[in-house]
Amino acid sequence: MANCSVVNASICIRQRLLLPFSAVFSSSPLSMAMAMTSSSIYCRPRFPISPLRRLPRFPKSSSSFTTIASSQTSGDAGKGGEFPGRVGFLGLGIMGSPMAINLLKAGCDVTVWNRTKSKCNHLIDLGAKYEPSPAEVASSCDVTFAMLADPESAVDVACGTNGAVKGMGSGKGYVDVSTVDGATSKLISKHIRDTGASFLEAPVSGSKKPAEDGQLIFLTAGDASLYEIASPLLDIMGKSRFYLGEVGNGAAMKLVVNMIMGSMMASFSEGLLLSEKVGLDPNVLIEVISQGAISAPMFSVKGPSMVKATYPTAFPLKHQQKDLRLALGLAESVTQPIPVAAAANELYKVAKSYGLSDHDFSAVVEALRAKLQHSE
Amino acid sequence: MEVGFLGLGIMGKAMAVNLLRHGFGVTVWNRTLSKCQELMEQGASVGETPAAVINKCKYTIAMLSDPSAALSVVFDKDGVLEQICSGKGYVDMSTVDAETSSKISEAITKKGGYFLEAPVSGSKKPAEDGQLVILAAGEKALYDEMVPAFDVLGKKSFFLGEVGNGAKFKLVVNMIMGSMMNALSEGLCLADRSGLSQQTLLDVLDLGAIANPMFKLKGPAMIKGSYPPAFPLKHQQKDMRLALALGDENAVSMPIAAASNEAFKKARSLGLGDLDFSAVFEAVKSAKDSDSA
Repeated sequence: MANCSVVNASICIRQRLLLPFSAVFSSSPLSMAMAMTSSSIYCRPRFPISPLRRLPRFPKSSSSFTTIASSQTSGDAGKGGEFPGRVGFLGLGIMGSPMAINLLKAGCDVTVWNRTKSKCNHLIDLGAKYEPSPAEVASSCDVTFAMLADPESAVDVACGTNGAVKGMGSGKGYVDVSTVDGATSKLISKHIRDTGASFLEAPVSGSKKPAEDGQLIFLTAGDASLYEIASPLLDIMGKSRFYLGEVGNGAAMKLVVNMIMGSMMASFSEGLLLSEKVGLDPNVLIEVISQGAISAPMFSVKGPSMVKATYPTAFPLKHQQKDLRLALGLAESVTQPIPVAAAANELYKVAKSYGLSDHDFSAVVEALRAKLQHSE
Repeated sequence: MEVGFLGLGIMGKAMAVNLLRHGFGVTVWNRTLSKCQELMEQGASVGETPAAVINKCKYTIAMLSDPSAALSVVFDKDGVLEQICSGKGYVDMSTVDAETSSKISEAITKKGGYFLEAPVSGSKKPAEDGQLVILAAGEKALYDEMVPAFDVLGKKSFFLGEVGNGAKFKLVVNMIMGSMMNALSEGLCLADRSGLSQQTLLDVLDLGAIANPMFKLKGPAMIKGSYPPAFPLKHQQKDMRLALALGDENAVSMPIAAASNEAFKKARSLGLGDLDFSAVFEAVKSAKDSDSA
């Protein structure tokens, strides 16, 4: 990303917006020349072709483009060197912690903050710096990531007391990788941009293990310039990235994906329970599914533990239900009935009422088992 | 090995051709006799009735579209029962409910024959390519004898125990499949209505934990509004209905399947029953048309 090599002369040149530290990337004369280009031509980007790369596609709207990065393994020595700026990381939960660790391992200069300070210790041991508030992290960094659990915390961390906004300004970037609704994202975006900084929403597809393995999928939207700059960092934490245009599009795409996932898990749960109740071996069902057209990694990975009624948390059930709720909100805003998702949402709510919020979302299977609730 | 083959629809025809290509002697029957013509050209013999086929062959496979056709072929005049006897095997690969399968099994074994239910997972292309997944249950001895044929027809076969188990597994698998197709349809609609690229959604799905061959294969055609029937929607809806009945009998909660079934019913009422089951997308889409009835 830092060295935007060109395959042949017919390739269009992409403009580099001149942010203070972007010039540092460009060590080659070609890159410098590109940085000077004043015209802004977003034509079909072509990256150097290697067997791992796929060609990017045209998106629906002409003002955005979709790119797919090559797969890169996390932990590549010195990859942090492609981004010499200082990186902030707000939120060190199930996702934030492994993501920040990957950045550190890649050699990035990382400053962290978490509401519960003790969660930072592990990162500090690995070489991260620490600041006591989002504002101080943001002011000491060039690009600050935020990975919070829900819209409320995302807004609070960005715009609350001592929020990131207080430390942002021209030349800085804020990349919110939390999963929120479009309205929340736009609100945060506005506050960030009002300071002169750039904003990128970049929710991820993938849970704990892909986060640890640097195999996340970033669904970004917002300031294209920040997307360009942050891409080496995204490539450390992830296996692919998409740029989807204006703020709201990344959030929407994430919600649609998780809506489908939530419905699939609920349906799979019905299948497992039905098998069990009619005297079939659910493990055989999992094997049969794995052989056919509906074989999905999620089923083979989660199925066996579901059969044993264990739900080690990779993606908390409460977050899956939050995503379904937000997806239903999105659907309502565009008047699109989604009855299957609505039925799935109800099941996750039942599971929450059984006290399963912090279990893995696969615990939704328990919601299909009727339980008598004692009245208060 | 010689086998009889009853039913030359989307699946039956592909399967019979596969057997012929692998050197099996095949005697076919179809309710509409003209469909046998093409098979004859590929070397099959023709039986005028199911009974005639049974009479000729030690093993007979049936591939009918639904419970009523499966029953009819066995119990009607000139049906299987008239000629089934000791030493002959009947393998019903149709997708039916467990009760229908048991009824057939009982009748066959009463006459001395032996019975295997063996519904398949996989539609037209896997049938053509011999890549079906076979869910057999019933007479183990017959299963063992059918293995050479199953190895040609499919990539994997399971023996699942007593009659009814194969049928039940098939219904459970297709129930999940029907719900997944609905989930995909809702996702594609929501993406489109929110101004996102549907193709990009498919690309994202293909990279993650919920990537699956069905989405990858059907998604692009759905976006184009194209639904060439590999698995007719009316059969998918039949399977959802049978799965729900199974859940009913056992008091098992199935709200997702119930909601999905509604969409398939709606699709049938829109006249989409003979299209591929992915045409349920049209029913999900039409929910928001401002000028729909």
